[in-house]
Amino acid sequence: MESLKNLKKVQGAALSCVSCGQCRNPIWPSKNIIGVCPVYNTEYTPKFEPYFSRGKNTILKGLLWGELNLSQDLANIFFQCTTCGACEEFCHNSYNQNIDFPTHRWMENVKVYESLRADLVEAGFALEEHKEMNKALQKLKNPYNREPHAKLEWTKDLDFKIKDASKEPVEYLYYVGCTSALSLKTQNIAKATAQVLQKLEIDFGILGENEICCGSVAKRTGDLKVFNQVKQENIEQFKRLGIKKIITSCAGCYRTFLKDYHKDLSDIKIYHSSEIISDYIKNKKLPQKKLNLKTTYHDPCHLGRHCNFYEPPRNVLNAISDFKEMKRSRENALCCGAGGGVKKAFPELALEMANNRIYEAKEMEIDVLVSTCPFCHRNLNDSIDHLGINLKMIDLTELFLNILTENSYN
Amino acid sequence: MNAIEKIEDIVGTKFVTESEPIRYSYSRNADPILKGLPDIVVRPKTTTEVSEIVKVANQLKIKIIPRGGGADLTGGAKPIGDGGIVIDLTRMNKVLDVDLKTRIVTVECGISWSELCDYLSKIEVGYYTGSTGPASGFGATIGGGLSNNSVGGGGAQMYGAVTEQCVGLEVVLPTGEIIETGSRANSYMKRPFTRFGLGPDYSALFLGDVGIHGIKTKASLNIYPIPEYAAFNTFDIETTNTSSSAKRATNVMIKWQHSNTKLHDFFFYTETYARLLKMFQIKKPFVKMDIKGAVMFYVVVGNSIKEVENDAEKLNKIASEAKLRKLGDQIEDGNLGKWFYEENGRWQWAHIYWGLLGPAGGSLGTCLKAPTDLLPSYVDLYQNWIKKNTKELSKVGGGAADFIVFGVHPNYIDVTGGIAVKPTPKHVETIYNLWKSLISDQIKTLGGIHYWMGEIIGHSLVESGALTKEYLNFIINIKKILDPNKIMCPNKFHFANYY
Repeated sequence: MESLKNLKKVQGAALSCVSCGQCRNPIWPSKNIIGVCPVYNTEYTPKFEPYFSRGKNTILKGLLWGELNLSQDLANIFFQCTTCGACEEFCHNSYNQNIDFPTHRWMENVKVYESLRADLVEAGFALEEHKEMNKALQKLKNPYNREPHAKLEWTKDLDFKIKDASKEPVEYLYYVGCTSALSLKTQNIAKATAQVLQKLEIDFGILGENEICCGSVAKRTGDLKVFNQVKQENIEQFKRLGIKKIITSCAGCYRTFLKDYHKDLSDIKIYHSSEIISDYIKNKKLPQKKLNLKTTYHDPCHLGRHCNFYEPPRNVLNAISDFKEMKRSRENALCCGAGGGVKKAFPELALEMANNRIYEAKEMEIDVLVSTCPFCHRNLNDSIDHLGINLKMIDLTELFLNILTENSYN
Repeated sequence: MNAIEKIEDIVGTKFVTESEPIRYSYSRNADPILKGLPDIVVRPKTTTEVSEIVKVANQLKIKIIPRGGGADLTGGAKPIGDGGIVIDLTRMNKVLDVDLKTRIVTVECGISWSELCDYLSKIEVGYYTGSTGPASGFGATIGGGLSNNSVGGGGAQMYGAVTEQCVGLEVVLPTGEIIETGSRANSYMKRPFTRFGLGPDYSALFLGDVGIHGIKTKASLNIYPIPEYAAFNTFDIETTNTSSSAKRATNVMIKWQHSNTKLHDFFFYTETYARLLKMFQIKKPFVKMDIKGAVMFYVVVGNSIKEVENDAEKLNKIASEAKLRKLGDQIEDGNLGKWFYEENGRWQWAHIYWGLLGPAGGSLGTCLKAPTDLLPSYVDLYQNWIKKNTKELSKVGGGAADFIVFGVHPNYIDVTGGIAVKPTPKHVETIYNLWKSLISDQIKTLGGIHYWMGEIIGHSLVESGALTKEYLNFIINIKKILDPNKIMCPNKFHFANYY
């Protein structure tokens, strides 16, 4: 098997770094650029060149020009990247709204690094932690190694019954995602999303134990075999059930369906839950009331930089709370540190990155930090616990639910 | 103990490596073809650690190569030939002292220009280093700037190369000894404020030295209050003839440089570059840029609106007399000067031309300094060189070789040039020869004074016979005394062959 099969497909982008090194640690306060790479800005790594994008890109040249071979050493470096895409945003050779000359669109670091990861996995250099996770995903259709019926646990406390989309037709499939469904720390997101959809009188259902992981973790960690398998199973299931609209409250699932399934899901409209809420507020002119809360928003990389999805969460937060932007937001948002398989394989690194984000949030003097991704939520919450900081992390759906119900935030 | 074990004892295991992919990532700089794979890469934290590493290198006769931001365009921050220890200095990135009485900042040399300027901008009225590094100042370090006599990152016409702002250094010599230069060499004066007064200017031995004489670990630089007022104007030179526009631009530049104004920067873009600004989907910031030929802009600063307006009027009059057409005031109208000064264009202007050849393009730097009146001759030189090499250029996916010009204090220019190519391993030799031939033409035809002294230019200088025999002997003798074991970048200028 050709060892760089996947990387060669994106060879042009992989060779386009001119090695100027501006992505190392640029400071540009007027654009709110305060460093770029979340990994480089930790003390966990030794910060040699490959711990930010230029060094990685030099290695890619070595691989493609036949001067380097794939190795475990190389894998350990490339997997210590959250593939957040911040380096791509700052690069002059990629399309970038922030800097002044979006002349060249050659650089696609996220796509390139994922391609190399696929080659590394095919060559036998997957990380043990990722292997274990993807094995569970293949077998149980979730990366948490839980039995499929556990995906229904979060519905037990609800005071209404959710339709089973595998048995009856629904207008919208609420695709819960493994992290919200299975992680105790983020099941509130699934519950709140279902409650919001129910209160907004949206005809929706879930797949419950039949929900198959979108495969994001496999794609990010280079296991294309597992990814393609679950992708195919999902497509077949959606088609069989006649699904036309999917709502997800997970940034990772949203990105995966929208960009990685792409044409294979072209007849299905994908919504992030924040879009539904934003549209509702816009169309129904709701709410007139605001929560007495100061909020800020953490842009998940999978929604923001990866999908250019910035406005709906802000529309909601501006409508229902006293919202302030974080210093590093939108295209410049600091990654939470969880993605790209980093939390699984390098939990200390992921936690340090989350700490850096939480320090920024704390500086905002806000009541709650809001996000729209269960994986960001989990990692940032871990950091809040670790640091013992008095800050509340909440998902946008949970916050909006407070508008629809009477509770302490009102 | 072997080298890696000895260095581990100095910096700990985390900050030294023999990892092949990491070493490979240090084998190249910001040019597309020059390569040298080190055996070891180390990231020291203190001057003492640097000194100890250098001593180990001396004991074991291993070459060492200091590296800052790694943005060198001519192979100055990587080994020449494989092997050796690359010392990555970016862990040494602290601001150590700001003396507002003398207006001097002292830093560790691994801090970047953008990090330092951001730090200084927050102090009282807001300060900066005047000349703010090279055009890659977002990532380039103070040490790298001082080693390469850098200019281009703004302020060059008012403050000159960054080296001119240096008032003292701490250097680890090739033998591992640590010295301080400037006023701090006097053991009774611990404040840096001047390079002079203790005999010859020995700081200068390490300025523009591309790391051959020692490793700069600390530097003290003049700082200045950020000007309160600035004005900027951009002009179109309506002609499609490069020689003609360059002649007109030269007259304007000389008059601007002699204008006795607070001219902070000025730039000249040839027709080719100006055309590219329009062609390559540049939607912002120059949305309404109405240019028909080459482009010039200036930035003038001052302490009052009146002062700035008066100076701008003088400079505009000179431009008007040369029949330059002034563009609108706003960035969207094409006012490159405003963008350059207000929007960090100083650290972006060079980057927009990289990658013009599409994916996997690269640029071969041929930047040099020249008396301002030589600009038209450089236009001829580039045009003749392209004509002579069209066929070879097309073989390597190239075809373009051009430059941008900016003023340097007091009365000369920087001709920031490059050749665009599509590098592949198959074409390395052809590309290298093309690159060297332009450098050689610059040296031999016009006495080009390059300042990036990395692999290709250092070698070209020696091979072309540009250095007089007496001067070459002189610098070899200095090198021999400072670096008896041929440890520090021994292959630069072919030094290793000379002693």
